Amino acid sequence: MRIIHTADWHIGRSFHGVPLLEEQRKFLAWLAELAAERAADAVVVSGDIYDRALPGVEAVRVLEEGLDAIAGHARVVLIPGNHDSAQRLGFGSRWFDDRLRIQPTVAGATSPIELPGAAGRPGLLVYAVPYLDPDLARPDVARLAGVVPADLGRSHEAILRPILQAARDDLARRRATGPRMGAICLAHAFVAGGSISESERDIRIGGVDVVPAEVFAGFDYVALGHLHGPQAVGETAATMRYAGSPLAFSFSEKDHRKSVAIVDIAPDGVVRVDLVETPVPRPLSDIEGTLEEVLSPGHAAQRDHWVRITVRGKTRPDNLLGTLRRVFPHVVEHRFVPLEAVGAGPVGVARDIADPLAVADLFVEQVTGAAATPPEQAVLRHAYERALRDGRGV
Amino acid sequence: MRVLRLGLANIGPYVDPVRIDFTTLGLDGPFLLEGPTGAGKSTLIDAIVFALYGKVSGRESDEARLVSTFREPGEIPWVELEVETRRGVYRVHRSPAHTRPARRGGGDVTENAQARLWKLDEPGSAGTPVCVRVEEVNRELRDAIGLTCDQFTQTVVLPQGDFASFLHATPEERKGILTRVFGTQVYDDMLAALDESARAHETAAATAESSWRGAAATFASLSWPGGADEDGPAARFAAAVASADREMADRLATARCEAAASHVGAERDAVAEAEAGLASAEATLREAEQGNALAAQWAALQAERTRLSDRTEAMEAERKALVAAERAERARQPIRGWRDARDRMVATQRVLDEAAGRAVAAVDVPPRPGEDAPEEVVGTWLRALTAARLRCEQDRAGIAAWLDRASAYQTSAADLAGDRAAAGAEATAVARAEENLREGDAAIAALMAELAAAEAAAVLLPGARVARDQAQAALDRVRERESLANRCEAAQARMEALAGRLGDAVRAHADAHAAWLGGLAADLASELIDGQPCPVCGSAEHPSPARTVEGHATRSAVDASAAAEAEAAHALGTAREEAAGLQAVWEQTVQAAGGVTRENAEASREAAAGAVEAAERAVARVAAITAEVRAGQARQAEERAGLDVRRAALVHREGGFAAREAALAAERAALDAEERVAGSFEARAMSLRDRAEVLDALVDAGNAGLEARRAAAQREAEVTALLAGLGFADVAAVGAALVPPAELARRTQALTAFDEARAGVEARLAGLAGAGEAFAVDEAPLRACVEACRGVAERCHERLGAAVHQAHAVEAALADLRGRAVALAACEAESRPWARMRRVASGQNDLSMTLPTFVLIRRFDEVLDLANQRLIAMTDGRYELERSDDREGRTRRQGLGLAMIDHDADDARRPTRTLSGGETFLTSLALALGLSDAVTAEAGGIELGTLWVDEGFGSLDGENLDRVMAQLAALRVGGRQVGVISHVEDMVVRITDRLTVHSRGDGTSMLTCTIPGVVEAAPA
Repeated sequence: MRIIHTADWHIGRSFHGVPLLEEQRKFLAWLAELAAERAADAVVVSGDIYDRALPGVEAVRVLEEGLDAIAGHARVVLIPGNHDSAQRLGFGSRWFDDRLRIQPTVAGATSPIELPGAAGRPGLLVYAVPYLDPDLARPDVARLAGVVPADLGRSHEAILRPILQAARDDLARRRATGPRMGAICLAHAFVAGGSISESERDIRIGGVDVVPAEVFAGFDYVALGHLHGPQAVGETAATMRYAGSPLAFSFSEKDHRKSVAIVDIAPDGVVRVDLVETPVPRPLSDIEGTLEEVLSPGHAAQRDHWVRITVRGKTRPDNLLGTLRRVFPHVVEHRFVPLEAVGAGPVGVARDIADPLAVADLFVEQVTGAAATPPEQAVLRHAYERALRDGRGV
Repeated sequence: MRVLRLGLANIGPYVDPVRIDFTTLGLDGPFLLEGPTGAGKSTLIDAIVFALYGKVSGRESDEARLVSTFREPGEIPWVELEVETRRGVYRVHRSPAHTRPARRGGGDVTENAQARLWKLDEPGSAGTPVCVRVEEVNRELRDAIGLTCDQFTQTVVLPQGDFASFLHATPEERKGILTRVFGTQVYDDMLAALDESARAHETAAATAESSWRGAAATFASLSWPGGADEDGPAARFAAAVASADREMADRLATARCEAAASHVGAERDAVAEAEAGLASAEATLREAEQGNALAAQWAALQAERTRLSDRTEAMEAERKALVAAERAERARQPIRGWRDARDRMVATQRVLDEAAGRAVAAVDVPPRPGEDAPEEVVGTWLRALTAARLRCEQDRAGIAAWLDRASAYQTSAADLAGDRAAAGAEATAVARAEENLREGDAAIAALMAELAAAEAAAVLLPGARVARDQAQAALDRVRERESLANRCEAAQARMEALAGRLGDAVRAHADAHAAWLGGLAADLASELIDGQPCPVCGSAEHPSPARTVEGHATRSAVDASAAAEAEAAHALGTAREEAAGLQAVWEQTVQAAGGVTRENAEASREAAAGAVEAAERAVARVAAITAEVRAGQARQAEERAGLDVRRAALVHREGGFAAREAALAAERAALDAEERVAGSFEARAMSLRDRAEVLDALVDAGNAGLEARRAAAQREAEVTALLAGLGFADVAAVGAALVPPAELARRTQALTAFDEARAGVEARLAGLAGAGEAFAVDEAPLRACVEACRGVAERCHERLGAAVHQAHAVEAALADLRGRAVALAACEAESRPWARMRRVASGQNDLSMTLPTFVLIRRFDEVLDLANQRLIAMTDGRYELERSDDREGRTRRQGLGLAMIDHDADDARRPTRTLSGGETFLTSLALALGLSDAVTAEAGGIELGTLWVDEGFGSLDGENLDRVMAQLAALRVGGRQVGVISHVEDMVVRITDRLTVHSRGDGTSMLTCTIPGVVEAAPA
């Protein structure tokens, strides 16, 4: 069976103020063509379909049309991610037909979606584990695990373990009573060992955000979503993968090669992964330097990119953004860093001396152009001591 | 400062007590307080602000809104907050003003707001109370937190609709916030102190100047007493003083001083001259006087000389006699010595005679040589005497041994007698002790008999006790029976009284009812009109309308009487039951007690008690007697053993006596034998002793006499030689020449005086040799001249005195003037730096900035720097905040204005009021975070460990919301606890630590949390 594994579409998201909806629409169209071209049996999407729990109307329309196109060539299996609202995304899912399956519940995760093979070949079992709000899912998961909800820990791992265990039990039962079929697991989580970029939303609960890889053991392929960089995790390179987002959503991803994965799964469990790079609408670049350097022809190749520019100099030039925009029409972020900045950070630029007498001396020097003479310093000291006395007496 | 725990009840929509533990909330990032609109989210913020400050922030809320409208009457609304501040952990418990139903009478009473404060050693402990008055609690908390309510609600809590107040504040308000938050009040105080001190110094300088002028006036009046003349130095001096020209004045004054000094010099010269004249006149006078005196002296001396020479002869004779007397004196002592020696010789002779007389009685004494016998004879005689003495001694020694033995024998005999007597006494004592022993045994036997008797009595004790308890129980039952009888009677009486009351009540009610009916009827009847139908029966004729009856009763009176009747009936019923109950109990008791009378029961109990006591006493006696017997037996045994020992010792001693007796007898026999042989040793010893004495006396006397004779002879020889040497014939001549010492001294003295006088006269005459003859000079005119000169000199002295006085005064005044001029200069020098600093610090400088403003501007710049870092991050570099000097509205220039730079629009500067809602929120948040960062980073600043943001997120679009949440999450990394309140759905999905407010539908709300254990709610 051949599936296309993708995830983290974040439809409706914008990039530093630039809307990406059009690029996302194009990506969905491209994906439908890929499915047709490679004769995929299914397309699995591991979460973060929308960018927000309440997506805008245009985003819904883009998704609808995109799914329509894809479902014409292959079955689609979706799970909600942490950006989606599982209840909203999964509305009406039990009435959908085989072309589109959305799996938003705990109960549904423990029994697989069966994808039949073409022309009598053995099919594929898909165990789809949605991302659920741990506090809302706790009662159901506790019931599944047979414990009191208060005994179930509050971390994401504690929620996932019972579900995955039930899924493995179900798989074992099926394999014991029939011919062996390939089995994959869809999940949306932060598996230990994965590397993050700036654009993922933190899913820390109870102080912990990672799930150990062995929670997902026992499947031929684990299709993961949540981290935006395409990468494999776990001990053996083939079985667990993050598809990664199809577009770059932050400057930390500018060097990623975004892709979707074409995975062939044999009934005996052998897995082959093939990566297909997604089309890049506009590359990302980071430029740093003085204003002259930045505007020099050395960066001419990047004038079309989405750029983040950091200009260094003594003083901020007037109308800096306007100047930059004339050369780089797609500058999305700009900063000015003064050259003699010392120890920038939330502690403060020039840490003020706390001694009031020193401050008074500084004041005299700055407002009169000359330092205070010793008799005048003595005067200031007397005034300060008097002020302390009176202040305390009040 | 950090909020730890919150508890509240009857506040806003929360009726049941709710407690929230914030310490475990928000560990993973910001926590969310969510719920539908109006459910009570902002109420929690209000409660926190109220707990800390006693009032509620914001313009829309007010304290009355806090008190829940859903509470039960009488329930107290309260808020309790545990908070960690820079001074430690505090717990405050506050109640807002509220109404409660009055305890007496109807209506409501307003209860004032109350507050109580505890200081805790650690969170969760009970703590020590700190104060219980609202003002004190407010003050204490404000000091501990370091912010006023307004400032708190701009840096720690960003309330709904109010978060932009720091952004939109006037520079004055901003100055107030920054001053308080950064503690720069000290600079304002410094400015005030500078002002005050500079003014004080100026005053001091003015005073110094006026005193200088005063000194100058004094000087002028002293130096030029006649007043100033037009062009003279006085006028110039006055001019210099008027124009405060200190140097010129000094010069003029010095010149005047010198003039006075030179005047003094001139006077002094005049005085000297006058004195010289006087001196010479006096000298002349003295010379004349001297000459006269010398002449008189010469005449006197001549006369004296003549007188003295008349006496010379007599004096020579006197001299000779005195020399002789001196020589005789030298011989006086030796003569006396010779006389003494002779006397002694006679005395010793007499003694010798006496001793010899005594010796006649003794035997064997060689005869005495005569008085004039030569020395050798006497010496021989003496030697013989000495030999006899020696023999005497030897005899005596021989006798001594026997005498010793005799005395030893005496001592031993006496000892033996004593021992014997002692042994006899001992034997008697032993016999007596045996007697005692026998008596003791008898006593013990008697005690044993007594013991047996007591034991027999003691055995009866347990039985006696049982009997006594039984008697006691019977008595109790009888008593109970009697008391119950009394109570039954009382209950019966009560019941009868209540029955009577019930009867009365029934009658009263009936009467009232009848009266009321009558009244009703009368009322109705009074309204009847002939021909109109009656409302009761409908007939148009009213033959006998009812009339008003006396004692008309109202409906309420009837009801009251009915109630009274019911009550009486009820009371009667209760009393009846009671009486019946008591009766039953009494019957039971009668049965139990039997028919025994009280006196009998008491008597039997007394008897039983008596028996118990007797038995107990017997027990005690048993113990005592046993002890006594044992002790007695032990003593007897001891005694017996002792006695045996003594008896054995006695026997032993008897044996010894016999032996000693025998020895003594033998010794006696020996001594007697010796005595018989030699005759009485005693008598012989006596005679020998006497002889020895006599011999000794003789020998001594003989020796003494010999000595005396020799001495006398020697003296005689000496005296004779001396007299010859001195030229006297014999002793008598010496006696004649002697003169008593006192007289001798006197006469010698007179002689010496005479000689001296003569010598003196001669000398003086020689001294005056040159003076020659006398001459007399007339002294009177000389004396007159001297007097005149003296007068002149005195007058000159007076003038000098006056001039000196004047010069001193002028000098003193000059010194004073100089001193004051110096002081004035010092004052001016001292006040100069003060005046300059005051000018500079109060804004008269190049930048027209006062000191406090300068400091504040620096701080504000820091705050803006920090805020800009966040703002640039949140807006991708589009917006930046800048400090401006522009006026904002009609306020003064303070340099604390704010403007926004929009880089997207050619760096245009926009006033902050032109931002959109979302932009305002971003900017305000950035400012609040910048402010708190600056405060936290400063040593001594207030640590703001909590941040609450109430709404505002609804105005942000998706990406901005992401950025703001990223900033807030970053705060958590810095250790700050961030709480957001929002009804925005998107926030719910993002944040996992959530406090949810649920509306119950009846207006009240309840609180739950996704983390277990954070919210403790009392059951509904």
